[in-house]
Amino acid sequence: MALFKKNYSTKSDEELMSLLAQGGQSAFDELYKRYSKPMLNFFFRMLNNDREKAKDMLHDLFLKTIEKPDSFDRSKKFNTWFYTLANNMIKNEYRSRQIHAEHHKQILAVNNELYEMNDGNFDTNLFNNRLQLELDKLDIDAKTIFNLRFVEEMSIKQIAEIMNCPEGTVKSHLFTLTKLLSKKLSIYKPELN
Amino acid sequence: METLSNTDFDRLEKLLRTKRLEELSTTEKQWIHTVISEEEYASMSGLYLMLNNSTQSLDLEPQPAIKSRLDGAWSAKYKHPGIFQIKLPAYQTVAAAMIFFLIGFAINWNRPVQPKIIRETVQVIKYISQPESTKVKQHEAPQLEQRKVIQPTQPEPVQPIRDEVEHGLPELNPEYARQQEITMANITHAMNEKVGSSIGSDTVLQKMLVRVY
Repeated sequence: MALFKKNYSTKSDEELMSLLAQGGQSAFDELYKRYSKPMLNFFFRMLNNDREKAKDMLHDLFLKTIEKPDSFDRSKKFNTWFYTLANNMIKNEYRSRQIHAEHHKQILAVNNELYEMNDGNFDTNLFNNRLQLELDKLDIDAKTIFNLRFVEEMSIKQIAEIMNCPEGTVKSHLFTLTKLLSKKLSIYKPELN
Repeated sequence: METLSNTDFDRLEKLLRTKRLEELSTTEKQWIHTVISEEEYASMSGLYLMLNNSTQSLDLEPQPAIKSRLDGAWSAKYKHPGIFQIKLPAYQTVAAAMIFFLIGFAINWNRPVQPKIIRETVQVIKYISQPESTKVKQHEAPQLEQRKVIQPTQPEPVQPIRDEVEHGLPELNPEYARQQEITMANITHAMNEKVGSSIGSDTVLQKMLVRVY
């Protein structure tokens, strides 16, 4: 039977999505293999490092793919469509609860504690915590654009499609964000100043 | 974006990702001055480098339980129903029955007819419906007075025969006795038919006996 087993690892995301819509479980498995980890990390960052919520969101995202595979917009690339779904879920989550305010206090407390413990010896974890804190102060769109660009390393065009806005708006957001964050986080990289 | 066009942003970002302030050429520095200050560039390029390093450190792995739950959801959606769980409309059921009936009919229609092999036969006994017309010869009985000859061709004289039986006829002549028995059988048969009891209700043995008579 191994002779007849299809090699899904060489297929594109869009081809896998078509096979998935026809009931191909192997196609689904391959998509899960490719996207479960990046999507989990994306949710984790966007939901203020709430690990359990990120897992739930990851499950719900793939569940939507199983239940409504026909909702895939074939005019878009799969990962663009997938991140659009994820972004919509995150927006709904933000609306449903005040995640913003809750985590702000939590991060601030952890950050101060680490600052005292390390006695000014900054490391990557500390920088990440502070970065997360600063990102939490931003609106959801700015935070999403930042993550898509610097973490997921998407193109401006893809981000514009996901955010459903012009490319110029994305670039404008990124320029403003970079300037703002570089000022606020300059203390964490003294060797670069 | 106040002073930065789309093209300028692409160029600036490329420089921020690849070069520190010290690594910029004179021409690049001159262009940078038209967009942002050197301090801003230094901070921003530092941020890009830090982001490049820090974002790699976050590396959560999805738990297998999530995949198991999704596999369950997949099975629930794409599970194939058993043959007895398939719901068919009534017209399809009727159509299927008709097709099966026609197929069975066609098979029987084309099948060659085999000759019947009779392995058991039943002997049909033909009963006497009318008394046989037998000529009775006249015999002289020794030491007995001459008797009147009975004409069996006429079934009317039943009473005289019965009378003779009652009086006890001589059994010396077997021919005469046989004729008498035949006559009695005919009479009994005729009487049975008249009464309504058919001889058909008799057993095979009885029928055979009758035939022998």
